This record gives sequence, structure tokens and C-alpha cells, in this order.
Amino acid sequence: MAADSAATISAVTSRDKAHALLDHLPEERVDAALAALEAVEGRDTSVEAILARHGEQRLDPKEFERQFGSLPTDDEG
Amino acid sequence: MVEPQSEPVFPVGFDDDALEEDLAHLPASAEVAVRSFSKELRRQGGIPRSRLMACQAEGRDGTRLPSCVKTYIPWPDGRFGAVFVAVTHPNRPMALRVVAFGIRHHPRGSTAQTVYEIADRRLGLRMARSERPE
Repeated sequence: MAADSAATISAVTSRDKAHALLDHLPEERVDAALAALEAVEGRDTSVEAILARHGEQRLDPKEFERQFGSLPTDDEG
Repeated sequence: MVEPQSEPVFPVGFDDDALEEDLAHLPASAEVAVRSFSKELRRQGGIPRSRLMACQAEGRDGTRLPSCVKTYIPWPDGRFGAVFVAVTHPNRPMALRVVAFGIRHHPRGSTAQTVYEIADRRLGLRMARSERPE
């Protein structure tokens, strides 16, 4: 338990430190550093993460059916 | 005389991270198309129902997009498409969130993902082989 907490605090601190360091970099190195940071942190583009970022939930299936159930379909996707 | 009923218009939202990821794999014409689509959305206050189609729960292309809707960009037969999920928010009316933007069909032999394959991947409904019921 104590080890878990220490690991969490350490990870948060490192991440905060990385962001704080960006403020002290010369302008010409900021883009490269940001790209590296993004590559390491990764951006979650799953639907779950997208909705979480916007504080949204998927529409209830019954309501979805009521609103969109009669839409036409095509032969793709 | 009966007044013609105006059709529903659904507010649409993009996700910056997802859109950025999508545009990074697309030609410059995609950005032009999505900008023009956004402008149209702003002008109309969203997307009219007549410009939406239902995605297939099990498509012939192998994608699974249950309870998703889509549109062609530009309408009515554009090369690009967007896949949406319908969403609710505690303080906003029901809306459509774009979960993938991309090319509808790639040339035969291309390994690039279609907009439907991107949406399918992001939905994460595919079960790992080990998780499938016997």
C-alpha cells in the first residue's frame, strides 16, 4: 500500500516537473520538447476517453432508437 | 394551409485530439473539407437529420459500429466521412460527438484505415480472441 502511494506520487511529480521544465526551455526547443512529451504521454483517442474529456455519456439505446432508428443506411461501414 | 415541419438539427462537437490524429494521416484536402464542414455546422447550428445515415452494427467491411451515425463530407457524395456517437451532457442538449473523420474508401490494396475502421478501433468493441465465448 505504502509502496503504491509512493509510486503514484513519484509519477505525478515527474510529470509535473516535465511540464514545468517546458517553461524554462529556449523558444526554439519548445516544439521538439512538446512533441517528445506528447509521444511519451500519448493521447487517448478511444471513444471512452473522448467522451470523458467532454463530460459526456452515450445516449441511452432506447432514446437513440427513437431519435435515429429510422435513418437510412448504405452499403459501407 | 399546413406549415412544413422543420427537420431536427443536432449540435455537433469535435474532439481536438482525435481530429488532430485523423488529419495527420490525411491529405491537405481533408483539412479544407473539415473546415468547410465546420463552417456549415456553425451556420446551421448543427447537422440536419436529413444529412445523417445509420452505421451498420456489423458492416460488410468487417467493422462494428452499433448505435453510431455518419455523414459524407462534403454532402452528398464526398470522399470523406465522419462517424458520430449520440451523447448527453448534464448541462447541454443531446448532441453528436465526432469520433472519427477520414476517407470512406481507399483504393484496393491500400493498407490505410477507412473512417469506419478508425471509428471501430476507437469504439473498442472487438473482443480479443481469448475473451470470445466458446
